[in-house]
Amino acid sequence: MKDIHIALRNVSKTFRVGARTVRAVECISVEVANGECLAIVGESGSGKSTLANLVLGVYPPDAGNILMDGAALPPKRSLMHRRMVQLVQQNPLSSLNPKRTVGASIRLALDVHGIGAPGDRKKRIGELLDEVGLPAEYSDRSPAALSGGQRQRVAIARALACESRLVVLDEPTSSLDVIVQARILRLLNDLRKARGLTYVFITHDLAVVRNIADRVMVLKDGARVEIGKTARIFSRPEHSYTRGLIAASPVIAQEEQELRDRLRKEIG
Amino acid sequence: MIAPTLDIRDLRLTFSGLGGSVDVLHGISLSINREERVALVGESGSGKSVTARSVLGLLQSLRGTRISGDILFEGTNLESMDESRRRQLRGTRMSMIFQDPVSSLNPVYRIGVQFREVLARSNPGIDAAEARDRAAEILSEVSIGEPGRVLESFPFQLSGGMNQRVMIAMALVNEPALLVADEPGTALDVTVQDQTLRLMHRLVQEHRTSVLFISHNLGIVREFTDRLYVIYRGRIVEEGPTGSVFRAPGHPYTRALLAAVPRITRDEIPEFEADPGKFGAPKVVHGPAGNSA
Amino acid sequence: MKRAAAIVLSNPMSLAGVILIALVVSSAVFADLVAPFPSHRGAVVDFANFNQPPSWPNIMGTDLVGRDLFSRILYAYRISLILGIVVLLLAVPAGVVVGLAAGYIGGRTRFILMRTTDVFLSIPPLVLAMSIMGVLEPTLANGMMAVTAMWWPWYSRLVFNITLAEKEEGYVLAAELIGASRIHVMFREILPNCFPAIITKMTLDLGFVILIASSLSFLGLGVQPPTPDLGSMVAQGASYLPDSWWLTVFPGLAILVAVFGFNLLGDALRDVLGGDQ
Repeated sequence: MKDIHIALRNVSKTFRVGARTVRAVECISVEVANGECLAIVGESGSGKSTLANLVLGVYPPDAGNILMDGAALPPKRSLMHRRMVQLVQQNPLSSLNPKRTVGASIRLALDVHGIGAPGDRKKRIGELLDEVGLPAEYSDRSPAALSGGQRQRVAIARALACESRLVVLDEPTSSLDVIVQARILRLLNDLRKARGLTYVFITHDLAVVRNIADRVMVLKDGARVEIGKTARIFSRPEHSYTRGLIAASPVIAQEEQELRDRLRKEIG
Repeated sequence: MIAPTLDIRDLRLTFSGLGGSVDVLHGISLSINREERVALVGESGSGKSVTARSVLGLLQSLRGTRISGDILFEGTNLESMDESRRRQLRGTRMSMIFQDPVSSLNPVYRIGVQFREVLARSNPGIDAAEARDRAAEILSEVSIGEPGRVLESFPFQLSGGMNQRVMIAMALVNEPALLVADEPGTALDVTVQDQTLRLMHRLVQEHRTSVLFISHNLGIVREFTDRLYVIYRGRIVEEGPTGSVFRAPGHPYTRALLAAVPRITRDEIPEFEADPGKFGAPKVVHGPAGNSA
Repeated sequence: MKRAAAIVLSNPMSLAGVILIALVVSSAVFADLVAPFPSHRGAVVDFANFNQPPSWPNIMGTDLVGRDLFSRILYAYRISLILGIVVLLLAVPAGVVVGLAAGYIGGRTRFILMRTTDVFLSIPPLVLAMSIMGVLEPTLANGMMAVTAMWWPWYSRLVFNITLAEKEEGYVLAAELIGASRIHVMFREILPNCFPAIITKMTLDLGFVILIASSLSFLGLGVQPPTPDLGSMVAQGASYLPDSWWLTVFPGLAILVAVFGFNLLGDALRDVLGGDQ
């Protein structure tokens, strides 16, 4: 594939917790194509958050390489590298500074990377807010004056402000109510198409994965259990751990129940 | 005729604070028959947890809370009961499980000590050996293999799933008539959550306990309850047997909720027709004119 | 603002704090207008009227050289408040910078900054101030320096603890991933979230700074005569107890009112701002 956006090659990360060392991510290789949405699925302790942080450059891997557009990223990322990947976090209540206005939070990205002339930035903030479905006047509001869904829209606008083509979505809808979740997922999908974005979607919610991801990687204890096209993973999971995950997901419809029953039977 | 285990009639609740007052519940009526598992489903801020806390009597003494309406428990009106008798009911005839097992158990006491305290609520004269036997018995009912070791442990030495099981065992050890479960298992991983809820379901059936199940998760409600009430902005908008509500939801809000739930058999994002502003923010916090805050 | 007023008015203690501090501040600001004998702030001698108990027009009596005690207390408030404000204006920024840097940067920076803070915190405040004042001349300026030296570590502690907590918030990570500088993250992102706690502590501390400054001058190490100072007034009057009780009781009460008032006001601000550190 020549169209690889980001590639992880044999990436490992170990943490020291007191006297013990914990292998959070163990020799993982994965490639994400331009415009693709790869879901990384796992339970707590699976290493999915560590993997996200490695992609984001929060810390460098102990071993292995991360390649962006074919070029290896250095352990310490420059401003230019920072601009290549952005994050949308789970809880917008925490990811937006309560003491700064929505506009100021978005403006930071424009200022740091010198995007647009300083005089045009106010207009640019308005356009970004419009792109995520918020009125430009919200620029002067504090996050406290917004609903959960609106806050998450602001966090998405901030991630877009850097004009990164790669966005890591870390449980972006887990703290939202189900109707709001559906709207945010739709927005994310529309933005992906409109801007040609690549997503690394970290979540524990398999139903969300089924709806939005092109491919799924299942992680357990820092290692890859399996990876494949979303439809295949759900209809014919190869690994019993994946089967267990799908079979444990709460469902509301008959056809889902049938899938779950079938997978349970396969587990035995 | 046998009185229902729980019968809430026209429960209204207002919080008044410095910024004015907020009507949280606008007349909730809900009943749970013996051995019935009933869900109260709603989104955040809909008033579902407040309803559960009112049943337990945890809000009545709060400053600035005004409650009206009746809460009948096994035919007795709780609202006319004095505070000490009501407290006596909690943990004996009615018990509760909260979302976060770790913060619900006291970190500085061993599980065994906490069990004995719970048992002493219904049987003040219980001795250590008897309490231990009873606790070990119920722990093995929640599939805890080594009850002895667990009783000697502190909550932080156990996993989240194990703590949640301990909570369930503790909630049922006094054979309550009603169990109030507020978002049980929400903090756990899906596989552990699934196991835990199955266990709880089996146990309440065996012990013939009525359950008020508070949840935002429609999938869980569908699997573990007999009947459900949908709460929206402090009002019940729909009520019915779980199966039939899922098959044919009556209220537009219920339809929007069900349509919005992502499914493991569909490869597209849920689409629903409800107009965008309508059900986006199910907040009970609204002013006198009804405008959303 | 309306909410803030409602919170303060709903609590009688908060209301009392607001009233007491309004009284203290207005006596300091309008001393020239309110004091019956403005000239008595300085070296005036009126032996005809010395050591008189409270009567008209000396409502709090006169001191050992015949000056009106009430007038002197008003001027003493002015000096105490100036001293308190100057001390905090020096100590707070110093402590805040140290606390932010130690909390956010971590590593060796944290070790050095926080151990230094600990050293200052481990010396009893009065002892530290006394030793500084013992070496230097006992002037108002040196008094302020001495009190400042013992005050900043409390702010670095406070801000350090808040910074450690705020650092874990998602907005810090978001700013770092955008590529914002350390200075930006510390001063523009984290610092605004420290303000409620800092302002609350400053209000509480104004009372304590006044108390410490009075203790120093009580020991003869602070403001020097003839400048009116509550601490030295109490000290001078102490040898004439119990007969000339007004010499100590009124300046003592004046200290009490200021310290108590700032404490109540600080608690009220804590309620309003929600800074519960």
